[in-house]
Amino acid sequence: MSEMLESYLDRVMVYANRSDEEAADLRNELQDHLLKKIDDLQAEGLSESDAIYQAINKHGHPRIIGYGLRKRFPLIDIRSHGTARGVIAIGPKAVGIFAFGGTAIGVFACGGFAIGGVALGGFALAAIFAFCGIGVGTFAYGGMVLGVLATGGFASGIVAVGGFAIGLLAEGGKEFSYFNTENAPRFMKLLLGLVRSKGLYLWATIVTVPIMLALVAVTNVFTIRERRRIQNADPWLQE
Amino acid sequence: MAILQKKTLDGNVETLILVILQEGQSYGYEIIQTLNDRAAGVLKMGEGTAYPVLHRLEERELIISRWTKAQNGRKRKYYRLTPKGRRTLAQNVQQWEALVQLMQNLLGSESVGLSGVGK
Repeated sequence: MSEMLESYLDRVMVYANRSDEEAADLRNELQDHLLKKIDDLQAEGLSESDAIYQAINKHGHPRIIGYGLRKRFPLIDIRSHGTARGVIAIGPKAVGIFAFGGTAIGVFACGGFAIGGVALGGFALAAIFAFCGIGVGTFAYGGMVLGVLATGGFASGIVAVGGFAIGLLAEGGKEFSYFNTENAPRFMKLLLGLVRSKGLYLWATIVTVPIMLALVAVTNVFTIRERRRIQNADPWLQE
Repeated sequence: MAILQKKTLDGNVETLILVILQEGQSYGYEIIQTLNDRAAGVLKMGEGTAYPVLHRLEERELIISRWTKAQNGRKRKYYRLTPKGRRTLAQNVQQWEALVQLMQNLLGSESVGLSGVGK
């Protein structure tokens, strides 16, 4: 078999990242496809080298094919390009139950931009709990927050507490609200009372910020390792 | 005729492959050739992109595979439909028939109505 074909299949397998047994099975299947294609193209009158080139070209980009052949929702999925999907997904764009990446979407999402059940990041959006510089969520805490329960320097939400508060229930230096503390719904009063009495805002920040930083560091380590693995496997893969 | 865009195709390539396998067992290359022949001018698929779909279908137990020796002596992986695959295909076809019916009702008859839309 030609070197070019071998190299192409190696590249696909690097991205597919399967066990040895599965990789051998996949490789044999793709190899059979490509050899059949080359036979057909040669029968049409192409030279061997042209046929090999065309067969590879029509087969598709190794990264796209390889990522497509990865296991769906494995326990841990790490990718240097594209989107990692899984129970624990680590990559530039991660989607999963625990997702860590530049853009993370998941039940627990941590990244520069995080969307999830619990989201920690520079900019967290649409989260049940969001802790960050700018938070939009059901429970948001930060410099500028928007959410069901929001507290911060600038707060906007159903329950908003801050220097400048806009919300259904707002408390702060300047308040714009539908409810005040006297006529607010009971559950809102209880919630607000609990958060205040337990000092949850402060502790949540103290606990979550180091966790966030650690997770971002772990994400970077895994992503860099994956990039190196691919680069070592074939240096011209970094398209 | 317009070539189908990827977003229109998403999720439907599986049905197309199930339709082909309904006619009998086949292997990757043959499946792709059949697809491209029958959908000439409408569908343009990268040949390798069918394999992730085939493997997903196998994971979902809609198809099963076995290795056999081809006439040229090479090992070849054949796929065929499972009973679960047949049921899924029947459901997908029903969904498609309902969608086609809906489109025809909204847009008018196939030839006159559709060709006039958007002009």
